Amino acid sequence: MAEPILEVRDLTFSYEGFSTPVFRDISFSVSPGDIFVILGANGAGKSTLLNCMTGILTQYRGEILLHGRPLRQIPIRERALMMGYVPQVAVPTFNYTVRDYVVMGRAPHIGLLGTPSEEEYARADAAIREMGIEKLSSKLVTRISGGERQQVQIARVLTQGANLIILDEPTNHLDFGNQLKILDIIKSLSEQGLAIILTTHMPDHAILLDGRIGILDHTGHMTAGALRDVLTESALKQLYDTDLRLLHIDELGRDICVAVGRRKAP
Amino acid sequence: MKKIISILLSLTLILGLLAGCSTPAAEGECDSPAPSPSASSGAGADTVLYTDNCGREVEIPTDPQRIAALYGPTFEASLLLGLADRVVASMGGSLTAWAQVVYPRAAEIASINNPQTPNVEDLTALDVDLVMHWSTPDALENMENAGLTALGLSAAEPTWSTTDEYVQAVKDEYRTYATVLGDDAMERYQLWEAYFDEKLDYLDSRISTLSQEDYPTVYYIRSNENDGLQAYLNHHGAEGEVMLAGGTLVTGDYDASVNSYGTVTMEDVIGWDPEIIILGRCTDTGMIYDNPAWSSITAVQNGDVYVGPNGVFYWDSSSERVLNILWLAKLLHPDLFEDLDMVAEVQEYYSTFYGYDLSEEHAKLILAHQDPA
Amino acid sequence: MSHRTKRWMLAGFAVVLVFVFLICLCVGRFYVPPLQTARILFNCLAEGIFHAPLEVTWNDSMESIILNVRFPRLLAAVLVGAGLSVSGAAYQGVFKNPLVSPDLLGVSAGATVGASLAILLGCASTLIQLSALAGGFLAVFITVSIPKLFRNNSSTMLVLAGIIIAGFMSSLQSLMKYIADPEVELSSIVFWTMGSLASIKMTDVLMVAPAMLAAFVAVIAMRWRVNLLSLGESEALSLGVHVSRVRGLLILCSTVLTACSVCMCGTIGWIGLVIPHFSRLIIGEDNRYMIPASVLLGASFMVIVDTFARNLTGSEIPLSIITGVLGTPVFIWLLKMQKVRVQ
Repeated sequence: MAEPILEVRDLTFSYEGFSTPVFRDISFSVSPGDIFVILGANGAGKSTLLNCMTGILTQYRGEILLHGRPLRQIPIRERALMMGYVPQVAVPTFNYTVRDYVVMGRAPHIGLLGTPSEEEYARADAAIREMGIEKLSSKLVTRISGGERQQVQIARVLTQGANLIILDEPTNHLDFGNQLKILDIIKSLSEQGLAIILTTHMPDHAILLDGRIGILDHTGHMTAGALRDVLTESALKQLYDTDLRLLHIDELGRDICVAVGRRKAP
Repeated sequence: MKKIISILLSLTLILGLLAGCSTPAAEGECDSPAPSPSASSGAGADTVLYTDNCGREVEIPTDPQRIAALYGPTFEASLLLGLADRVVASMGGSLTAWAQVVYPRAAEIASINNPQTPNVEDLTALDVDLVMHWSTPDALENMENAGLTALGLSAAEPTWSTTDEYVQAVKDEYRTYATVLGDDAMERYQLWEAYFDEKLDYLDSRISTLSQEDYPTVYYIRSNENDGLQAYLNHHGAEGEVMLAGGTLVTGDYDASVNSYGTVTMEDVIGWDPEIIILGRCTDTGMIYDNPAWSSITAVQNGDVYVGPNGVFYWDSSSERVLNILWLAKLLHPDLFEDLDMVAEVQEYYSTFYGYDLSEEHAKLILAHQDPA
Repeated sequence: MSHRTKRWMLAGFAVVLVFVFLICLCVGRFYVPPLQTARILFNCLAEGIFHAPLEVTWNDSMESIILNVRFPRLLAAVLVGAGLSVSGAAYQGVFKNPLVSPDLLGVSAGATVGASLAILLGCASTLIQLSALAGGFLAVFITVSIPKLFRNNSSTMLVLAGIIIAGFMSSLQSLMKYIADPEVELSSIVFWTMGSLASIKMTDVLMVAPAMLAAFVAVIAMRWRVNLLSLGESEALSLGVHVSRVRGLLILCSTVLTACSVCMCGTIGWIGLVIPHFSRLIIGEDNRYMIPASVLLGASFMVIVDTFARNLTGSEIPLSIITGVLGTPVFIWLLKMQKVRVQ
């Protein structure tokens, strides 16, 4: 087992003035090649957890270690060299070309007063090729579809050169086909040795990714572990407060998660 | 129902429009013709009917006892005409250091700091029976509504174009003040008028030996606003004074403005290239000498930048303008007026008209635009 | 549009600026033949650098007009136009909002209060300018301190603080106008708030030029960082940008540029809002090109505006009036061109 890139130990966070913590005693770790999927209900604290992990929120109890060092003590630029973040898909305010947008990922490698050189652009082009979006290279980021924008953002985070990537609900707002495309990309990135953490609403996606799971429940506790152990029907029913089944499909060779739905009257 | 509402709405709209269109005409000064002091008695033994510069017929006391001299030159005029004892309120800026030397009671007169929009309650509390004010209809109406007797005494449009007309305009101005102030003001005015005429004859006798080409060109700065670019323009008293002293005001043909002073541009001044520069209501010649933009001007190169005198009130606008004309004449034509002793002239004026014996040092301070030590 | 094209465009803008500057130097109420203007300028260079003066074919008045009246004015116009435009551009990137102007954090309001106070106290023009600088910096200082007070460092909090301080300064300004003596001080204050380069001297320009040049260099050097900041705080943070530090630096530079501009010529509206939009329209939204373009276009625009101000009518028209009259329809036209997306 490789040295963990990110370790979360007994993480507890409450907003100032609130006695009830958003979540408590969360522990998990992520090593190169791992995929860690965080499932949680709306309002359970997934965004807060992500904000703690990316260093936006710092008033937590417990510890987050990045490459063994406390996250809060790592300077911002160094942190960006080790950890990349793909936010939920949003339309940027200004009209940059995809190529210019992707090269922004090289920011931690460029000084305060610098601009991207030919070399940096070469890396951006490489990432664009890796994601297979060359045809988008000179288009404006505001004029491409949501799915394309998600790919562009992943290309950007790749140019950062970090070996840990955190994605916030990467399949939101995407159509069915694009959702699966992104999941494929995530899987291939992990196969290349990157560590991936992502949040999602779709248990089925968690199954497709076949990584480790953390379920964040209403009380703020996380149950983390291997897919098979943690992702049980009862856990999911409790999480989503809805009737569902985990079924094994022989034809596909995998489990799926389906909602029971309303039964039609016979 | 809908029909009734729409008719009512339309009526309201039309009425509103009509009401809006009947608001009084533009603010600002009235544009009635030259002030002719017309007082017709008959409205009562102690009041007189007077038509002011706005054409308003106002019933004023024949001998006002509690006067608010708010319009700039009126306090000094009351001093000149011997009735300063009747002034209970005055524009802040006219109770000057020299006014207080010459007339110590000035320190006790109520100083009004917003004379163009006076607080009617303050004036009423002072039991003012006559307000000498600018010819601004709004302010006058305000005071009238509060039961105060107010007169608009400033001239809105320039009223003269030749030196003779200027002299007449000055005389008319002080005659107006004399009429309004009542009592023996008119007699004292006539003394002053005789003095004015005497001095004018004296100046004319010498200056008429010159032709207009010998008149030096003068640029007359008003205040230190805009670094010396605020100057007296055509039809300000200063132009008349310069002309009577045998000079030509370079701004004489500038765009006429109601205020008769305004801001010119640096390029204009360089273009006029005046021979003499005079600072009217300011004293810092450094403002001109230290500014490289002025360096090419003849007056600057020859060191001919002078500070004008300042006394009981600004010499360009008070009755002391007679002294100003003398001072200017001596400055512009030193060879013609070698025997003119300005110190003696100032002393004579102050003792004759203000009843104050000015020492030689004080006279020199006044001529140097300085405050009493 | 390729990067190469954009670089050529910037070069073109620079050439335009030089041309506009030279042409406007020849225009004025006092006629100086263009040939003499050129000779006077060259003589300055020849004398100063090569110690070999040209033969004098002009008179003192002409030299005074060109070197002491028009040149400092145009130089000031260049600095003010560029300064306000760049401040606007930087703020628009930092605050992710294309509708923001350099007065966002209250610098103009504060500078105006500082100048008014000095005018009321009867100070000389140099003191008035220093007072304006101090007022501008003080206002921004208070504005950036408010978020620290509430321990909320977001840009929204900053904008709110700016609105509060600008509003407060505005009431102070009204108080000053009320106190002012209507004969002398009030008109001075009002004229100052409308903007004019009429009384500018070379010493005034030299007083603020070094600070402004330093700020220009800093903002232009950081122009790619503005791109990063325009992605939003959390994204920029994730890319390793020290958001509060870079934002602080940009705010400092913009404050220097705007405060120095205001202290030279009073407050002038619209430039900080319209010129960056105009630059975006022509050269695109990438700040690497948009910011230098704003510098050049803003400078040219201001030179032209000032030339109108001093030549259109007999008296000087305040600069704000011209920029407003020209700026408003231009802005409406820009909105119509739909290059400005209001979100």
